[in-house]
Amino acid sequence: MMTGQINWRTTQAEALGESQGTGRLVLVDIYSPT
Amino acid sequence: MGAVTYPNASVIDYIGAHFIPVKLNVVDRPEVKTYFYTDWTPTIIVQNEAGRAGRRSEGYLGPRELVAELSIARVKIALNDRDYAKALGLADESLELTKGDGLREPEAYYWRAVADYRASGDGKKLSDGWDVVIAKFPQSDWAKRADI
Repeated sequence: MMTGQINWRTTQAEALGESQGTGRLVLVDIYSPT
Repeated sequence: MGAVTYPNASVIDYIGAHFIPVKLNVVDRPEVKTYFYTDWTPTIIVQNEAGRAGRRSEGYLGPRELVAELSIARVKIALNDRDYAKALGLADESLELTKGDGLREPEAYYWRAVADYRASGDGKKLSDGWDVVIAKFPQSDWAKRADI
């Protein structure tokens, strides 16, 4: 399914909370804006 | 990554299907570098739902390389979580997603053999699988790791 764009979360806690019981892993992207 | 890799349709679909993604800006939040123990960007870390890191990658990845990297991350985390049947299924998928990736395809075959061994308890599946790594990718680092 095409989502159009990645739905990035903004905190690790939010991502971990959402992942509970879903079988989905948390992908952390640490970046610096160019 | 933001200009080419993340807008890619295959990347969007793969991340959307299998991950909860979080983006952390080290300029706005410099404590992120300390917390995740990194001094370089981009750094990608894949965690299980307990927050335990199973895979880390530093440096730019194109769309195909990122999907390949994430496919191996899923295998490794299933292995680390001792869900071996799941790991074996993901490892088969990883063989497809790493095809032609000189760095990751040999690694995918390596971990596929490990998953097969863990799922079955049959040591021959490990040695047979690692023989494939050695035969198909003799110059790879993973062939050396398999050649015991």
